Amino acid sequence: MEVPRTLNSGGKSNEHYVAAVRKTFHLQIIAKRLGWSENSPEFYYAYRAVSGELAFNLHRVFQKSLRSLGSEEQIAKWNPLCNEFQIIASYAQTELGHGTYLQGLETEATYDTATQEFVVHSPTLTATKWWPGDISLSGQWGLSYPPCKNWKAPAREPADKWASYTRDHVAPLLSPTSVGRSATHTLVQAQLICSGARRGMHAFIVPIRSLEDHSPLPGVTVGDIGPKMGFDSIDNGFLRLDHVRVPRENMLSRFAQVLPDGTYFKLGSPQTNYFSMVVMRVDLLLGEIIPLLQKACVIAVRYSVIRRQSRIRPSDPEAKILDYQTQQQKLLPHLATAYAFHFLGSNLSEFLHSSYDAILNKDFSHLPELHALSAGIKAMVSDLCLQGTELCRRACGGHGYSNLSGLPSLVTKVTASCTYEGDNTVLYLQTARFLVKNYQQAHPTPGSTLQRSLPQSVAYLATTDLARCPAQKAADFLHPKLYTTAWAHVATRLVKDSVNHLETLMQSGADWDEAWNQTTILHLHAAKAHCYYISVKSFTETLQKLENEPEVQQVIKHLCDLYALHGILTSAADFLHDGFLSGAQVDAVRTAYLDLLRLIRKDAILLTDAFDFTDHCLNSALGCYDGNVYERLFHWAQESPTNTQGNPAYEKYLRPLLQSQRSKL
Amino acid sequence: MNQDLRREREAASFNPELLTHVLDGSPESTRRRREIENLILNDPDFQHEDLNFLTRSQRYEVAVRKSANMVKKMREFDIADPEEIMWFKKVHLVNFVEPVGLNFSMFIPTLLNQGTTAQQEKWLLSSKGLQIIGTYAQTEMGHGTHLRGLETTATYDPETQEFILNSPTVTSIKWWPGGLGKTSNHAIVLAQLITKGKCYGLHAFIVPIRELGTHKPLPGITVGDIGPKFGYDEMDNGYLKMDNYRIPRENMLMKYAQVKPDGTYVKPVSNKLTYGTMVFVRSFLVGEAARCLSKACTIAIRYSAVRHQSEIKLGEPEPQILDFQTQQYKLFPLLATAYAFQFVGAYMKETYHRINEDIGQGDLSELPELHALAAGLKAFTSWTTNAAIEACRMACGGHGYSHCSGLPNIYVNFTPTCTFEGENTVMMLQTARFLMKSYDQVHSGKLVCGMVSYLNDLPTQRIQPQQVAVWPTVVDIDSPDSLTEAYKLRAARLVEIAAKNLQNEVIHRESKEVAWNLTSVDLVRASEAHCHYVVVKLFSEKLLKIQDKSVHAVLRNLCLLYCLYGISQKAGDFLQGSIMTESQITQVNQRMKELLTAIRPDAVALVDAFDFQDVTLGSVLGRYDGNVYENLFEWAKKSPLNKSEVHESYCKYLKPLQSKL
Repeated sequence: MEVPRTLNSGGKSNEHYVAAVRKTFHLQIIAKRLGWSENSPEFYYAYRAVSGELAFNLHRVFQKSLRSLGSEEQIAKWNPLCNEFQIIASYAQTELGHGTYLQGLETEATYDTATQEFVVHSPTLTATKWWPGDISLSGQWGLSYPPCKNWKAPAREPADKWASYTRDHVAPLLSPTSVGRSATHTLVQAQLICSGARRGMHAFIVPIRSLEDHSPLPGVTVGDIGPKMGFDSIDNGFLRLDHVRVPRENMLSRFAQVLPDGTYFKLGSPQTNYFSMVVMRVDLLLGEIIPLLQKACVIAVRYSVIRRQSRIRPSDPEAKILDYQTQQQKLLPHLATAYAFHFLGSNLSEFLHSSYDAILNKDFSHLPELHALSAGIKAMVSDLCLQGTELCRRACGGHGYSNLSGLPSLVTKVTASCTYEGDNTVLYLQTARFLVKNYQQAHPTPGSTLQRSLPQSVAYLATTDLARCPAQKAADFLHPKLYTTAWAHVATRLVKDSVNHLETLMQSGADWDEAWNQTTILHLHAAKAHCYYISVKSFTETLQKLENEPEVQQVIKHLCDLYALHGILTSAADFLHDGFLSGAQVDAVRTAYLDLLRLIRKDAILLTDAFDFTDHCLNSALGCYDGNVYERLFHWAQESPTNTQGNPAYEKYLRPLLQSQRSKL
Repeated sequence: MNQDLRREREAASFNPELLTHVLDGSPESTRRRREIENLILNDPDFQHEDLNFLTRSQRYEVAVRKSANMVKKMREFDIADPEEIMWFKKVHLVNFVEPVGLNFSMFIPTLLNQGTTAQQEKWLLSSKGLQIIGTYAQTEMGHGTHLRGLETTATYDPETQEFILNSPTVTSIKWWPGGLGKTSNHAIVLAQLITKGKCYGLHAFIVPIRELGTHKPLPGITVGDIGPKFGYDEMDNGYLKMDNYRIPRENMLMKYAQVKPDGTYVKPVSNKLTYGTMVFVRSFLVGEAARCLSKACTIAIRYSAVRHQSEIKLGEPEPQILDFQTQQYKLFPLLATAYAFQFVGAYMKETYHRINEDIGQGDLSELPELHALAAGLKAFTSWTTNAAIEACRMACGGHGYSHCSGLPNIYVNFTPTCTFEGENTVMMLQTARFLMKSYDQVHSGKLVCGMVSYLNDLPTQRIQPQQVAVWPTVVDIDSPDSLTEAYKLRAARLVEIAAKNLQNEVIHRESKEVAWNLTSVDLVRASEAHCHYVVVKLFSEKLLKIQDKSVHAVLRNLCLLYCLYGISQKAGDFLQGSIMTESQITQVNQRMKELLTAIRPDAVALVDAFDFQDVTLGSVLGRYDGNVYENLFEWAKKSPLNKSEVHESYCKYLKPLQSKL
């Protein structure tokens, strides 16, 4: 039993960092030898196998940005350098004092006609680039790579048949990297100033370290931003630029150009920026965020059948903790969520892919919907994955607190995803804007223009629905159509409600911005219900596609039912509010829900095995496939550096303390 | 000072100093607390490098050094009152995890409670003086909450008059005790006592584990650190394995049960009194939840007043993020919760002392209720606080993720509270057991008293049995008292539903225990509703005792917000029970938004009143002066990773990468 190094490094981020650099280094060599191309399934598998503890992910993001924002000449110049690792690239957008709000960024790039250079400068302390590597804003770059085509996992043993359904998509894994210590070049997002006018945000390639000895170049102050809650292996950095000059050719110029004389002109549509954000978010869902919840479920569920505690009946031996109803209620809804999100991410990715060519051909008709969907879904998925992962950790009792469980590092990774790539509240509100707009379009005020058909994901806002749920007994709630309709009803009502409040405020004289801020809590609420509806709908659609696999379909249906009903119980008030569900119906939902827990309990282990994570990838003493939890825990603990190295604190402080007392005694 | 914070403080409607007195209990307590804090914070012996930049081994070393200093200083300054030690020393200097802490919090109290006079004479003095550093080893690798499942054995050998201690399996290895790994030389070990071939259950034994002088593990003892954890880096939580390890007969704590030299077992008279320590610790943890949440709120609210972002109105400068309704909605209910828990913590402390005096006089009548209340409130407050700290952290955006915010540390050090001293779900089920007992008692015609007395008024207990649902209620959403009534009805309803479902399952299942398991989700809900009611009740009662008008006004707003926020979160329960109508729920949501606006001008003063010093907060974002960005930059520069401009890994890996590919 090899002891995982990352667990036992004693919390030194330095060691994590070195390990990540080392692994990336070897991976690159292997990839080169075996001829894996970027974004290939092989790369994704390799990433999955090493659990994402790699450096230089932004290096590739830099390349993608280059290829979508750069001119042909720029691509020809820089891309080979990146491929050969002659330069190590990163990029820098977020600043110490500015995040989500792009226009607030302070870094400037002023064109100097005399030398045909840009002078890139951080005018204030708050303009210091901070977190670069934070993927949060990578999306601004109009990444132009297509997500990989659907492909099936290689054939597996029969017991693993669910695995192929969970592995339909490929996403390059992206993590924050690497201005702090690694990068030699950075793509800096700065306010372009030329011919005396501010032209908004543009991207500039800025060399920051010497290619000879890696030392920072003149005018560049660069460093690591210090220890964080997680992501120890990533050197998120800060970057201050003091009038650093770069040649005119270093501004990426596919969509905007500055001519030698300082004339500025635009070549493209700003809407392409949206698209890159969409692509980035969808990649993140499948490649980074959702697997974290899946892993947490695997660990917690496996441990819950190994761990025994107390007795259910006095005459019995101690029970497996998964046999307690309270433990099932903690874990199984999140297992269902892990499946729901997998299908949701896959369906979203498919939608994105089917719209992709149209968008490249400048047909942007699907873009607003894609943008709204990806924003809200990213927010919901990261929110609920965080809740689920943390709950899995606590459901493992004391051992879940030990790093040897593998769970703390999952929590610290997933929690970051609630902030990066757009703060969740901000993202939900972007979705809400889309909902408000479409609702108003579907229900025009008298005299205004005629409605046109709504995008598919919000089409339900225009349909009239039942005022009361027709279910009579618990079993009636096990029908996908019934609960999908229920979710559509609630989402519609909440959107309508938020629109009404907004319009009322505006009629009483508030301007739109003020009215919006005064109603954001309602919009948030509506957007959440909408996203949940979308996820339930996507789950039921996946279910239909499984018709040829009745056995799998059956077990997936239990999960789908549980997912939908768990959501209803969590938001019971929304269903009770207008009498859509009666109190008795909510009680029936609860009965159906508790029965489902018992049914899924039986398949719980196989359902987690189907995710098909290797022990190495889980990195958990509690979640190992063979279930030898305690032996492994003891072995790993004994190998901890605290046990293999001496105890200087005893010599320095304890011994004198003990002895000073002894002399007195 | 930062201009935004200055303006916030000038605009507050009340004097935070007065509110600090309310929180501490009296102006005198505030004075004494500050005195002790300053004594320690200004002492050069307690200065140290920022823990965030140290390795785990270095952090442990700093903690041991501070512990050793602390013992010396307490002697020097004559701080002996356990109250002051417990509530001030350990608590107000949080981020201060003590490897020798368990010597004082568990080893010595257990010795006092369960040791004979002779045993106390033998060990007390040397453990107080830290010649003996003790810890308390109960939890095993495979066994936690369920005490009877512990496997460690202590078999009596009458020949030598010794106990032979054994860890018979991997799962029986003692696991988690604080200070066990590296620091302690003695442990009180809980083991199954076996004498004359019979097992008599768990008893406590004093076990030497390391040699005095060399500090080396004794033969037969395997001891070490359990490895890195989510938090508590400074603590050497340990493991302990014993192989035929012999200790003298006198090392069994024998105040109650005894083993005679010939191996005869003498039963204890009563063991109810051991509840006392548990109740004390759980009551203490309620206050601990309040303090941790107060800290998190202080950081998030101050930072939200300093940080500017985006725009509310087109063309205007970027507003403070505290002006966004969504930010207020994230933070103010948590601020209200922090105040609510502060008052609950104070109540639990008082109640514990009052009941402890009764117990001293032989009156055990209130102990069961206190026991149930402490278990439930420990779970309720720690669950809420756990989520709330994390919400505060995320409300600080990206910087909240950095250790400079101090929030990751608060979180990882608080979150084990949900697990230790009784796992929360198990705690909720203990409270539920008490609720079910009380329900049955009322059902059989006897009245109950205390916090559960509302069960006396259940309509089903009246002559004409009827559904709770038709209780006539008129809830005034502007009156804390009326809202308390609403919470009471909710608790009563959920207790009744759980009781009925339990009865129903009992009829259909083969045993009561299986029925209990199949109702446990309902039972936990009932306990939560009961605890929520208790918190609301204590908060609104506290309002009556506030003299100062302006303080009263602002606390009343917080109390209302706490009540209304809970209703909006659990609206389903209030609707389903017909406690409130749909239109009232709509009013609740509307009123809540008004309260957010009303609290906004006082938000900074409200966190100032918690009176945390910057050192105690350990946060760059939460600094009193609000000079966040300058200090953030300075802090990052101190990171050891920045010590050299070119990192060693460059030469090792990056340079070769460029040539090999």
